[in-house]
Amino acid sequence: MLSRPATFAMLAPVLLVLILLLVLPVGYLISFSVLARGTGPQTLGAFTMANYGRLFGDTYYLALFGRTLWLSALTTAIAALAGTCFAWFMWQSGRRWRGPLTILILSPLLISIVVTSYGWVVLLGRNGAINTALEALGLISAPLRLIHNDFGIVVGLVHVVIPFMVLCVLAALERIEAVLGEAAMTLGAQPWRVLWHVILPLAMPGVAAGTTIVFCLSLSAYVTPAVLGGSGPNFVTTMIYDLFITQYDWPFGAAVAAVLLATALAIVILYQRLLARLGAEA
Amino acid sequence: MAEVTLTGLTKHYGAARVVDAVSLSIASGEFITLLGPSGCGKTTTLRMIAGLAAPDAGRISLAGADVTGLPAHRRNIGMVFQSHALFPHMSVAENVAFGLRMRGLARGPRAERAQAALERVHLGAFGARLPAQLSGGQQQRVALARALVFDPHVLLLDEPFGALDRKLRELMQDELRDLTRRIGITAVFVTHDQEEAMILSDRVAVMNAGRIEQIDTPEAIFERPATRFVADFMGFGNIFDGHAANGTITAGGLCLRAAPPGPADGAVQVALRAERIALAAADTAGAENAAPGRITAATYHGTLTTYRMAPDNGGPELLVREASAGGTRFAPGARVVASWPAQAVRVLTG
Amino acid sequence: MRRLLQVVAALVAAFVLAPIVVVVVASFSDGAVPQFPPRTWSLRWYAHAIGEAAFTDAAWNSAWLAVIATLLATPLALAAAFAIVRGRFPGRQALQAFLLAPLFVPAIVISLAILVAMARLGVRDVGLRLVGAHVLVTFPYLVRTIIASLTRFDLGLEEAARTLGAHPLRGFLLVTLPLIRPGVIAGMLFALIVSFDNVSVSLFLTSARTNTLPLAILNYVEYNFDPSVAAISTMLVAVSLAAALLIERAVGLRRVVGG
Repeated sequence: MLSRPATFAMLAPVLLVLILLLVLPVGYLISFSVLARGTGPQTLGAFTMANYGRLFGDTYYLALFGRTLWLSALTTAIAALAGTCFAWFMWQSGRRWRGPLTILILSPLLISIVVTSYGWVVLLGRNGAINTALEALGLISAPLRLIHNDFGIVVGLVHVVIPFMVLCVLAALERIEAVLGEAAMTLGAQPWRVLWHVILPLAMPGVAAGTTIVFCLSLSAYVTPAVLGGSGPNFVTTMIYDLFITQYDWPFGAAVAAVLLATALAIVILYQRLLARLGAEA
Repeated sequence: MAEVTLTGLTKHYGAARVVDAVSLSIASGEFITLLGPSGCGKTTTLRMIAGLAAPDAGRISLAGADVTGLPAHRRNIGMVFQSHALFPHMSVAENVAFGLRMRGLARGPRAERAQAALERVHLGAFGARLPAQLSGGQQQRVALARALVFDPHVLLLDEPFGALDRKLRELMQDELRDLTRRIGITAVFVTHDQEEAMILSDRVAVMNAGRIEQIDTPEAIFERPATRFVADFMGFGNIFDGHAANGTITAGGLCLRAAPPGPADGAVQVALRAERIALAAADTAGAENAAPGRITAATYHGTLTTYRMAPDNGGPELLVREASAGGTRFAPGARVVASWPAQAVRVLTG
Repeated sequence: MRRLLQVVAALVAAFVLAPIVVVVVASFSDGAVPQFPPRTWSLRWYAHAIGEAAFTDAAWNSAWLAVIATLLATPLALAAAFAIVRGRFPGRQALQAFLLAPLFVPAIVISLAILVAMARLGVRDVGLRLVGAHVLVTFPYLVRTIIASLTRFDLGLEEAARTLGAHPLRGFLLVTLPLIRPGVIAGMLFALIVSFDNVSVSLFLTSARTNTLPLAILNYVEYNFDPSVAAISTMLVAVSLAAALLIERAVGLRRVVGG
């Protein structure tokens, strides 16, 4: 074991870096949110809570937050279903297939989101592979609108987050002893009842962990709504970008960022609580 | 001359006092075993000698020098761990040479001495292999060679044979005893296995709750335990609270004669070795101690058979262990007479 | 039932692979727009992409950025992981969560925060800003991997080295470090990928003259839709998959990514 001073000496540089690059800058950014907008661009005025008043008082912004939460929830639900199935499949597949399947399911994480977003445009765009194929088959007469709308956002987001869901569920499944399922079968349970009464309840902690992480990631995504979403601010993150880059409204942008950060951290803290409780039970 | 001296060694983990004022003097060339159940403080004591744990109070001296404040790497001790702790990324020869390398020995003599040490444990041909390519027993021998190669003041062994199966264990015990006697090294061995302690040691220190209960030769510990704990740990099987009056001890319905007799009057504890009790179907005249009774349970263990017997006069049941001779001799309910020599009755002091 | 599961898994796999396969195949298009499948095949967009200064400059920037950020983050992560695993102090769990915080703070918030804070301090150097941000986003993966390696490491080996006469530091260098090296290298490889691929955290920190490759691609596709981006993307896919295979071989991808 390390002595206290040695431990502290080893942690000091990291803590310094995190404080200098994360805590103080984020705090500084958020401090803008309680200032009025100044007379010129990028100038700041006096203390005010008006930015938060505007955010929570205007149905436009509330609706945008609502949209973001709704699309993230939809993404999470789809990812939970698909991810749980895939994790279950991985769990049952043999050892030889684990490596290739792992790389396959993690590929959205390993390959730049710019690449995959571009791929969705090529595949789902107005003149993309899907529309071309459907038209050639005579199934549609005009191209379907598959991107630059909410459908595009959800497709892109599910793709980005599915690796995390699979990893969480797989980790939970791997804590289950295969013998449990066999034991249930010797007790006369049919396979689907084994799934329902034994496997799913035990996988639930993983699904719960996965949903929280995935929801948090969806909320914070920028590239997917920017590339695959409709024009104009369509997500909280793209609105923040717009406020800072196009409108130069730093104080209001900072308020929106603060609320986004608070939401993300609240989810993570709830998740940690949940993990602690599940851990205490197990 | 004392090679290792422990004086009032004490260690706490949190509020628990795991080693409680242990004092011990080990002579040069002596093989001492710290024997006790898990949690008795034996491993912590060994780790303090090694310098891997710091005592809260007390002194440790090695070869006449106080090493209490000295870190492990400057104590010149050799230690063998239960997990072997062989470095998996180094060859067997590199493992054995590691201590010499730390002592700044040049590559040539280092390799020579490592090879000699490996030959001493019959592994001369295995130097180029990786530890993972060896069997459990071979790994343990490498660990032993590695700990001995730089002629340490003392060899410390922390349950080194715990992970081996019974047969290999006995073989390794023999080898260890021969090797340590041959090179005359001082050794401190930790185990919870009393038989292992008997086989290997010049002296055994029985530990309980952080203290040394008794320290003596294996024979003395086994035959003449001083305390209830030691008698129990040595498997006496029968330990009674009794009362001495006029040189006779009564415990329940039993009347016991002991040799040596113990105190003349007052409350006493007596231990009676289960193997020393003889069972007979009819009365045996002339026994120093005898009690008629009824068998209540018989269990066949293979080499041994154990019986429980309820004496007619009431009082505690007797546990009897005898060598199996073609099966179980008495069935539950059988009437028997138990007899034993006074010498088998040990009056305990604590 | 089993069949149903296989069908769902196959659909998920197809969904995951679809945009990647499409990009790779379309990169060999001959026409002015990426086609899937291409009507005529050609490598000319690869030549075009490699000749495009916006891409090559940005690729060099991204490569340097990834290497510097990883090299800076690794010793920090080693020290932190060591303290977390081997130290005994109150609030260890909370500290560990804090070390992983850059994973949970939205990247766009990190990017903005570093932008405004560095502007306040008068730091206008794009490289410095980017390195700061990328150290933050690579650090958690390194800490996680090294903690996992150290946790599995048998402490008895270090103790053995000490009883054999090795100073603790020497024991660390000769015994601990070689044994956790696969984990550290895998973490570093993953950190390189994370940094090289990251978009959101660089979003506000690049300049017209200094760009990262993912942002250069993002800018390019706003005004152009030729297959050169598919060509660049295919090269990125190849690099990422190669790194992924190496990591999987060394310690297993899942230990690096967590979950």
